[in-house]
Amino acid sequence: MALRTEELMLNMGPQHPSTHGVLRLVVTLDGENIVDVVPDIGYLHSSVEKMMEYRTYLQNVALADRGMDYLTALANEEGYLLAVERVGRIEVPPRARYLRTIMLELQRLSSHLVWLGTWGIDLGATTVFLYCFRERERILDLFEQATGGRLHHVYFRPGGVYEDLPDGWTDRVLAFCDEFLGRVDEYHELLTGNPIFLARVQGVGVLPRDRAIAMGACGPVARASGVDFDVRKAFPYEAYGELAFDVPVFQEGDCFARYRVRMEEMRQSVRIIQQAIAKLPDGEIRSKVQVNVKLPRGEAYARTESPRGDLGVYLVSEGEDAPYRVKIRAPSFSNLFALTEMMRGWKVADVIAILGSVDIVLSDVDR
Amino acid sequence: MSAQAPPPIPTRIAPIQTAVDILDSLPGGSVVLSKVEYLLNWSRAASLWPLTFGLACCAIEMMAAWAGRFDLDRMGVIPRATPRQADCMIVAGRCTIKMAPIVRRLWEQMPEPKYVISMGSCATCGGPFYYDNYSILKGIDQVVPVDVYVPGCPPRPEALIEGLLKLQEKIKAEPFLRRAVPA
Amino acid sequence: MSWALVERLRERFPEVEPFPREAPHEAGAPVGRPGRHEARGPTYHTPGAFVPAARLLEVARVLRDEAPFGLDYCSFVTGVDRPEQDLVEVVYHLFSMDERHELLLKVRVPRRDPRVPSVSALWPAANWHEREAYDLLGVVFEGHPDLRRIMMTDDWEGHPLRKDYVYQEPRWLVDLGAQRQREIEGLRLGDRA
Repeated sequence: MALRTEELMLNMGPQHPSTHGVLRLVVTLDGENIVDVVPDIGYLHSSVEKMMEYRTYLQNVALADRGMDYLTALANEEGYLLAVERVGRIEVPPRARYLRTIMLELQRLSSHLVWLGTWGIDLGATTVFLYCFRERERILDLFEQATGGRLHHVYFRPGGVYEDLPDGWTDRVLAFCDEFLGRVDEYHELLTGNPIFLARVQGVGVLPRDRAIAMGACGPVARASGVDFDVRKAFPYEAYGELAFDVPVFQEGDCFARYRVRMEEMRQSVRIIQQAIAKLPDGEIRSKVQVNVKLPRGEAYARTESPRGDLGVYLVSEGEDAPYRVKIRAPSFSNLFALTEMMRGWKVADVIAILGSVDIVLSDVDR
Repeated sequence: MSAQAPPPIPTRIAPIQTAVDILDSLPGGSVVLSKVEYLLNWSRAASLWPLTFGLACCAIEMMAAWAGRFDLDRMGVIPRATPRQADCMIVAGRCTIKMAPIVRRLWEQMPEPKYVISMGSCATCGGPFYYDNYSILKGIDQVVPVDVYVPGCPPRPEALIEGLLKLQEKIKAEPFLRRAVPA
Repeated sequence: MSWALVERLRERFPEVEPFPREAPHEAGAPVGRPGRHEARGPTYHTPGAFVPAARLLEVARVLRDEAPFGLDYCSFVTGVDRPEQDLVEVVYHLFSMDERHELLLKVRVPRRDPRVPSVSALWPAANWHEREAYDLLGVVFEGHPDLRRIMMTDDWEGHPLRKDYVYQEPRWLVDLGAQRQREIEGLRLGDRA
């Protein structure tokens, strides 16, 4: 007698400890195997694009912190301000460009640490979480000394940065960098050689290169699939054109490759910070821009490499003191769409491992 | 039991005193007197297990509150992922209108007695997303009752700890055995 | 580099109208000063072209597959609502991972009935972006495999990113608020409410 089987619909989220926010996944299962995954998003849609139309260019900096990806507040400010400065043809003094670069890379470290820690919890390794947050608190302390905020900094301004660095800050950053390289080795010892970890991530959730491009994957997810593209290299902004760093690219396209890309990116970020501090020029930190700046009519698409990928801001100005339309091209939004492609055919237990490896932030997905 | 005969039980003394005398005379025996209610409240307050309802930025600070430096576990506050095992709910971050029914449902799934901590300006009143906005709920107290509001955008982990301590104070002062139980 | 690409596209499709080129930046020009630029037309800092809606699929296929273009990556699809011109501009940003050049496409459609063909068959990445544009701006993408709301709830009324959108609290939220008020008053939640 033939055994009757049927597909099972499994609802995951929106309140789920492993969805990194309020993501709802409707997983169709055939036994243990995933037949289809339909992400349901919008549970954190904060109407940032609408709000930005009603606020001045300066006020929007604070909004970009909160409304977009909350783990990478400075990268959001950078993406938004790059578009503003392009439309307004606002020059940024060299010292401010270097300060921004240092801050952006510190932000990348702190964001990747949250990813590694939470992914560790998802995979059952709570120790990683504690280790990562230990280092992250150090970075947040550095941020707090320089910008006054832990998560939301509102540090960048049109045409520069808000304040110069406090005394001795660069020395503390360099001391932290030296220590942090050792910590990365520690994470490697903890995870990379761990057979349980490897069994859960190696070869799991493969995204081939052509599918990665077609599905719009970007950032570390695309680079793990062999797409050699980093906005910092391809379209250098701020001081990235003057600093030497490598872009890690792996061909496998599995969870382990995505893990290795981010681990290597952390080392490269440290390298960028060290160089930027060594080259940090003196001088102005902000060009003279009115507080209530009015931009000329025009539109621009500015792209930056946020820790999650290719963050773009498409800004339309109609000559007012507020933008006419802002479109935020969120990296997590595109990467989450590629998730459906990665999950098909794997087991239900791999859902968490694959989802965590993509490193989505729902505030970035929904905006 | 000691070899001596137990002391005669006086008839005029309250029975509780008798019990104390008997227990105190036992080797190693001793008694602490308290109200049952106080004991219950003390134990409830000292083991608050919150449902971590992380929605946005505040969720990251909430995670940091459980990590190494702040270590909320030392106050008996252990994160739970399911409402069925939770005493209180920390709503951390902005709540959208799409999410509001889910906040309500999870609150309904929690067993009594239950408490709600609203963490951050967005959960409290809409915060920076109050004006010109079409999707954010202007405060979760529109859908669930809130016990403690923690201000800040986002609140530091210390602020969340202070909020939990305030909730402990509130629990300790509660007439737990004499309250009106909702139908 | 990419402006040259626009010229190539125009050679191929004469009905495509390139964006007006940005004037070269005059040295020492005042920065962000109000009033000075208002009389001028908009400056397009990112190269691109206006495409008629009827030719969009044809143009898109050439842009993706044929030699000088090879734009294999769709960054985003969105719309700009322009009520004063009675238009909705649908904007596509395309990018080539190998050649590293980019192109904006703009399709102008009437505001009352904005319809454009869907490009999600060419770039699967456009799928969700088109759903978002449909949800927030009401642009209908014909031929889209799964065109439903993505950000707002399915029963939401109106398209929030339209300039004339007026926010109204949904009915069920008003009811829930009223229910909560009754709980506070009637169900003796005590001093907690």
